Amino acid sequence: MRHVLLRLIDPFETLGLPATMDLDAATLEARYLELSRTAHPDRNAEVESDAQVAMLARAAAINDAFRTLRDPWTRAQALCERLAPGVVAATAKLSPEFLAGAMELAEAVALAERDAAEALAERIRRALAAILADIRAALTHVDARSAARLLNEARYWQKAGADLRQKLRA
Amino acid sequence: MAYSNKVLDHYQHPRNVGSLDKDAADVGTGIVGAPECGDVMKLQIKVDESGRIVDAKFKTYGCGSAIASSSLATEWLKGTTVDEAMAIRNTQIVEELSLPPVKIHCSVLAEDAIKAAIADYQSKQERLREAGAPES
Repeated sequence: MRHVLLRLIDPFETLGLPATMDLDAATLEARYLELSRTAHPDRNAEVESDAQVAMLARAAAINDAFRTLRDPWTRAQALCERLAPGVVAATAKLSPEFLAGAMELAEAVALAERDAAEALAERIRRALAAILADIRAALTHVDARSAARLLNEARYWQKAGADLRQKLRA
Repeated sequence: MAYSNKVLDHYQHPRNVGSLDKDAADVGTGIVGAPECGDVMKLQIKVDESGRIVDAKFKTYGCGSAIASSSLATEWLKGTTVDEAMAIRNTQIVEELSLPPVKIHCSVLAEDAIKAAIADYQSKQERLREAGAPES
């Protein structure tokens, strides 16, 4: 559902912010609060219903845009889709070499004993940080395809991280 | 999520889990993934001189439906010819396992894995022919 919204609505446009990975968190939040105040349904209770429905839709769009841009991964995805609509889905098929590595990673998570888990969690954190840095670099060079492929690669690492956390809680 | 009995059966007793020698000339390996859920599926076939699949193995990291889809696929593959295997469609897997719409992509993954394994086997055979070596 989220992916569909990302394709239809440009969150940068919704919030009137420059389309870049380097969004300042304070600027983003300030703009979000400012726009939310003008679109808050309670504040506009006296206007007629059609306008109120539109206002509600706008409030929802502002919330969605803020959520999308606050997180660097969904922000990167929004930038990819802005540069080349559909590019994330178009790059979803990854190389057998990468997938073989992803399978080894999943195996390592499944087999990890408690004392080895922290080292594995650290390895996953480092890998994700490196991928995010590569995505930033790709987007700086307006290379939506490389950035999108990296976003798809990151999902396997994110899944491994989530599986590991769940395993440690159990 | 309510899984069908057939999915649960394959999930609890997966058939043909394991690996074949990926470097062997008569083995084809297909490895595919779905980034949306982080699932990875490896499916391998071993083919005899007559083009019949004599063994199939899989290893899947994913949800119950992905495991069941690949387990079922290996069961179906054993004993079929490569041509028959090419004709297996994800819709047959959906039907057999009664997969709900949100899990159809798991059956697509299994079909992709079968095709990737066959393609790998065929490209190996092609290389052998080009090298002039006798077919294994």
